[in-house]
Amino acid sequence: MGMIVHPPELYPDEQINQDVLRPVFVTTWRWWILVAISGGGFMAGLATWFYMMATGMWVTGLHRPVMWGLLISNYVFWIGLSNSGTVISAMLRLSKADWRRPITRAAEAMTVFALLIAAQFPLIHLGRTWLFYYILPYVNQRLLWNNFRSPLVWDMMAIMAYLGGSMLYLYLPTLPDFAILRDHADGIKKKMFTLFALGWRGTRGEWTTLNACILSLALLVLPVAVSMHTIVSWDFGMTLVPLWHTSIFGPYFVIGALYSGMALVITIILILRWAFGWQRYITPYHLDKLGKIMLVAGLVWFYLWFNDYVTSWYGKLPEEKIIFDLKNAGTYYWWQITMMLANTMVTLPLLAFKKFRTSPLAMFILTIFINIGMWIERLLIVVPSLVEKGPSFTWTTYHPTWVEWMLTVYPLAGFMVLYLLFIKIAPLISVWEIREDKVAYATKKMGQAELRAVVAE
Amino acid sequence: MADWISDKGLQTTTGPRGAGRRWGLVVDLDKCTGCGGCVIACHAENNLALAGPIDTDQGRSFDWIRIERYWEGEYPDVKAQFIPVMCQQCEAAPCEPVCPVFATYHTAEGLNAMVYNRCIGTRFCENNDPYNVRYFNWFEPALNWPDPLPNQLNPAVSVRSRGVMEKCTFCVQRIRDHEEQARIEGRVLKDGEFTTACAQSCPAKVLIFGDLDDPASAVSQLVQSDRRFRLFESLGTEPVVYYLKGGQG
Amino acid sequence: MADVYVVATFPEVDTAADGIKRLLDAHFAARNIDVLTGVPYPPETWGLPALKSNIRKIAALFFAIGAACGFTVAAGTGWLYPLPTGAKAIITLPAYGIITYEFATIFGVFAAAIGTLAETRLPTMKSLPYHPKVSEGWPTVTVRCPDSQNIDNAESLLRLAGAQDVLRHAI
Repeated sequence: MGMIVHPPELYPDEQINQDVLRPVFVTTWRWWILVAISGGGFMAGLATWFYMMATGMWVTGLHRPVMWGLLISNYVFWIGLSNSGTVISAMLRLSKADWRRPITRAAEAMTVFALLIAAQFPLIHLGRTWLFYYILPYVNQRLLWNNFRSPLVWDMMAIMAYLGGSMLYLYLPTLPDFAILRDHADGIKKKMFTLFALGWRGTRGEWTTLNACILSLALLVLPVAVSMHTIVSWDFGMTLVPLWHTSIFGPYFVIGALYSGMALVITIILILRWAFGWQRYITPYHLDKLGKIMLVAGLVWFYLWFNDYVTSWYGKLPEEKIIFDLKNAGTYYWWQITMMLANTMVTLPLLAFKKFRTSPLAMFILTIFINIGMWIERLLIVVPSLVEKGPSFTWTTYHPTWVEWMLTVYPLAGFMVLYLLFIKIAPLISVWEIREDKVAYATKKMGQAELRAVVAE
Repeated sequence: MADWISDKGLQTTTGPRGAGRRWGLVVDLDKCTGCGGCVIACHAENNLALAGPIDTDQGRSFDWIRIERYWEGEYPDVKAQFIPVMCQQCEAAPCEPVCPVFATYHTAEGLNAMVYNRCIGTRFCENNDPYNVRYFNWFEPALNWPDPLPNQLNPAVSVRSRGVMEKCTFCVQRIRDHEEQARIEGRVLKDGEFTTACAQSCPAKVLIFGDLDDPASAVSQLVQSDRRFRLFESLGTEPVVYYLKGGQG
Repeated sequence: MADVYVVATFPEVDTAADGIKRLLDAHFAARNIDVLTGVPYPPETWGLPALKSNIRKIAALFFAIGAACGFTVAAGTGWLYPLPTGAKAIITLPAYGIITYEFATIFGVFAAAIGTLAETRLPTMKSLPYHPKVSEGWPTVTVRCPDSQNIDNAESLLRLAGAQDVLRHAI
């Protein structure tokens, strides 16, 4: 069995500190170049947003009845990407899966930043962005109340719950690592990490409370992640729009989010692995495990997609058939084919092979293709249903403008900026959790094999 | 109390004005020539922003009422069919509940009201509108009336700003105006005392406006007709715009 | 009078546990003894009475409070400002159920976080006993000595157990 050794890499603690903390303290020119590129994209996107706000929504390709387009596709895509970090970390923590340790922090950070990016899109696409606060439930004298019957208000509440939960779930388990950084830093960085660590010392009481807190947060955040993606699906499912109005959208969006989010987790940990030489921490064993989860998510996603496809194909409701034909025979045919190749037909069979799952390069390419496919999937959900809904007199086509394409680059650049900055603030592998692995396990010799024996719990 | 938690009892929710009436519109398609007079009248009455040929082509025009033209038959035996489509003021309007800020809601007299100042422009209502009769202000409309056109704006109707949704109101300003007048004169509102701008200007008297809850009103009589139908009735949106169409094509 | 702590770092878990055992045998009160560690150890490691956390209860309690608040806010807004929309009832239970759940979660996660800070007394401005070796993975035993005669005793006991670095820390 022992072809891939799970990492009880029994390094001394000093070695772990060295390896994992180095990116926080040592800044390379590659980092600066990446920050410059993504920062430039981010600023350009921000400028585009302000230009759109100042000029009006006519700078987009939207028009009646295509009221939502690329911007909402991007929103759904980035909300989807935000899924897996917290979910995978919470699932693995609750099930005490020890191989989670080197990937939880990077995954949780991904959730928080993808969500921070995604949460901007409902604001970006507002006609009057500057009045976004009308949607908040707050007491005011102008009798402006929000409508709790609207899926958009549910959406806003879900984003607040999920973002709040994910941020705390990222920050609190990092406290012990901030304490380590505080002890290793000097100058201004020492001041910063002293502030972040909140005076963490690692007393018995602190650990007891923190573990209880992490457990509670994991229990609370896991269902809220499901609700988040379900509610995004309800933005579509609650309407009367053909091919939006389907009850399968809830689980379909949740599993689609898990699928694309898992792909991004793998992309990110592979980049970190190469950039920081973390081959000893992020091993093919992890890729294998994550790849299996992704494979299951992809298969379930395809299963639900096919359910939706086959019911609308067989049912032939007139208004649904129009949209169905657009996707499967008309304007969006090639998009559909590309999506199917990118995230199902080629990728899922490949993922079934351990050779592919454990190859970093193959997984890197595969996960990027999966996310291209999932982005197209979001586009195919949002746009075709709108272009030919209602009276045929009003049917139209949709061509996004450069503004919308800029605002498609913007989230990617913004996400990269946030992630790059985070590298300088916290270790992307949870130091204390790696070390805890060492405490909890020992190797035991049995015949010719070296096996892992559980020491605690 | 039961009214509050059941979907049935909404008609009993009393508002300050107009309760006990239910405005409706009858469109007799057999009479419509597609002249477009109603469209022009609506533009004049409701301060609709102008849109040039390019913006119209891009689907950014404002036509609270529009004449949809459909061709029937094969060349050379082609026939044009006209159908004026405006907001259907649905009793179970799908566009209303999706608004996160109550910018659109249902009034006691059955109007699908639009509150421009509340609107933040999510455009969700237009997505969930099966008739595509909601119009979004892509541009700053105030810039759309070159001099001296601003002088012809109707002072009874607000000019909408950029970034908000708008749509047919059944000329609510006229309803209010005549309600006030009747109240001052101490009488009830008479059927046919006033009508919407589109109905007023229709040379063929295609459009008839009135109170559907008044059994004696012209609209109440007309909706008894065998020729009546409503747009996308299967969706269950319960429009109060009734179309009349005879057997012959 | 200032509180004096004895702070002793140990290279291994076993010697640190032994040091604690010696302190307990010498009648140092268990509540005055603590261990600072870089990773959480099973509670039985140190032979000290197990500690309990109320975070789960706090989170569950505030989850319930949040649910009540959420329903009140959603239904109350509808109640006070009954604006009918699209033939949906004023008190729409499915919609308000969603709001109830989201409010409950928001309350729950923030209660868990704030509860954690309250229970651990963090953040703190006090200079509490600490040793930078903790972040190198060295278990560090701290003993609070309210009685100044015990300080020397504690120091020697911990040294005997194998402590590498023994300091005094006064607050």
